[in-house]
Amino acid sequence: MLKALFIKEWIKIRWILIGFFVVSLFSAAKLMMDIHHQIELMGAANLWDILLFNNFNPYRWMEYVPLFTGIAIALAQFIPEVQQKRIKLMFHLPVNENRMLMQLTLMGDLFLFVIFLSELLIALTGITFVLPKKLVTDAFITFAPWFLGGITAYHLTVMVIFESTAFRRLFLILIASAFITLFYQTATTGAYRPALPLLGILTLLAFFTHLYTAYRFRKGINQ
Amino acid sequence: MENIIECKNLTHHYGTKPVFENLNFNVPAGSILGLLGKNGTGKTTTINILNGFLQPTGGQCYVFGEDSQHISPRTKARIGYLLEGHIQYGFMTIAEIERYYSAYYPGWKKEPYYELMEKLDVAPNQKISSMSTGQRSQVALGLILAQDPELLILDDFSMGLDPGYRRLFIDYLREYARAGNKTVFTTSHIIQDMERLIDDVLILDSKQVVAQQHLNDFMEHFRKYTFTTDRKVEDWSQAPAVNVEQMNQHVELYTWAEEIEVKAFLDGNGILTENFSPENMNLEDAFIGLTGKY
Repeated sequence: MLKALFIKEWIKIRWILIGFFVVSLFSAAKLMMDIHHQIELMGAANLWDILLFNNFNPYRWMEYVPLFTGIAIALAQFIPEVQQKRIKLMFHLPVNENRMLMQLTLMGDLFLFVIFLSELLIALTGITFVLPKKLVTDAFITFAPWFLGGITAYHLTVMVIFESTAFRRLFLILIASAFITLFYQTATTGAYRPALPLLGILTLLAFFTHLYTAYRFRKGINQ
Repeated sequence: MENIIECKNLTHHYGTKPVFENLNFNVPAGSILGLLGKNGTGKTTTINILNGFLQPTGGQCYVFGEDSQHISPRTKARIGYLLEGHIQYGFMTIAEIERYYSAYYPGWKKEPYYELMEKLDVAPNQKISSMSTGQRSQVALGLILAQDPELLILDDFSMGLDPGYRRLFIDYLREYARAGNKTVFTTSHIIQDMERLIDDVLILDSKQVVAQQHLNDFMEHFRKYTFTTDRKVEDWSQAPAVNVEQMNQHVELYTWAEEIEVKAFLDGNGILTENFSPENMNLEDAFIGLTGKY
């Protein structure tokens, strides 16, 4: 069943996924080139120096790429399901409805994980050749909240999509936006180091946020 | 006979507006029951409640003995469901969607699906979204046939179909249901289609069930009489009739009463008639006669 669901979701959003995968590869490539370019311009020692002591963040432009990726994949995956209430087809399958919903979002998480992991691996591997281990670790810690924010944004977008009343949807968008800003308070290198475990827990909590609005959608509750 | 569906005191309101109140009806095993009603009488609402997609304001429905709000996966596997408009996953091809659903149903039979698909002029890799409404209806029907459920719940199967596809749909469905002793609960806004398909009729009007019986009994006992009269009767409410329509001198009277009872009323009230005669009706005539044109 999971394989069938995976194939269905892949068929539905494969072009969006491929598009964002390519974007992520370009992002990783650009990041590598930027670092190499900086080294060409100022030399490795100067770059290390400003990275370590001047709070220089050459990755900042990547900050919102995972966020948009998460939101776009949620829209691509779930808008076709709520249009014409097509998701009734899925709820009618002989599987517990909440289990089915969790499986569906886990498919989205899997797609996001592949995209984000590829981006991270390429970017970090690329800079490993020119930066010391400490700066590579700092880069990873700088990226981490952005990618966690992308995954959280995916789940919160799904939660909003399932809400069928305009007022509640607006309210949920406001709550979701406030929640997401927790992941984007600062782009200072390594600033999120102490908060990363908490952000990880918040991301895990977001995995369940769509169950309530999906229940309301399933039961036709529109008040 | 065992009831596959039982609804007791079913009531639903949208906000403060009641759709229906205290509906009671059963669907026996092996019957093909058509739910008829004008727009807004709650046909789709009833189907949504039966599938657990709407919490009723009051009352309950049971499907295979389970509360329709909490149908177990095992029972859902016994129910085939056609959404209004033959909605399916338009981004899939006919082969992809068949493989997708087959993973969920251990008793999946793909032969009837592909037998139906061969009748369609579609390429194997053609997406469902690029098919006509008629072709999509056959895909939706074929998937239900492959699932081989004991109960089929069909929400307005005629929607958007031309006469040929409607006939194809009905003929296939009727043959399938008869051969497998399936139970069918269906709605359609095209009553001629229902007449070709159903054994039993359930009619909703004025927020309640106004008829539930075998189609043949309904057609036999619900009658239409026509006559002409010079008298303009302002109030027919005392007549033994469910609906009377008078246009100038011509009167159409719809009733469950015998001819003798109607004539006795007319004579007793001094309503002189000419050309009094019973009229044959099809199901659409009878439905309009029972529920009115407005």
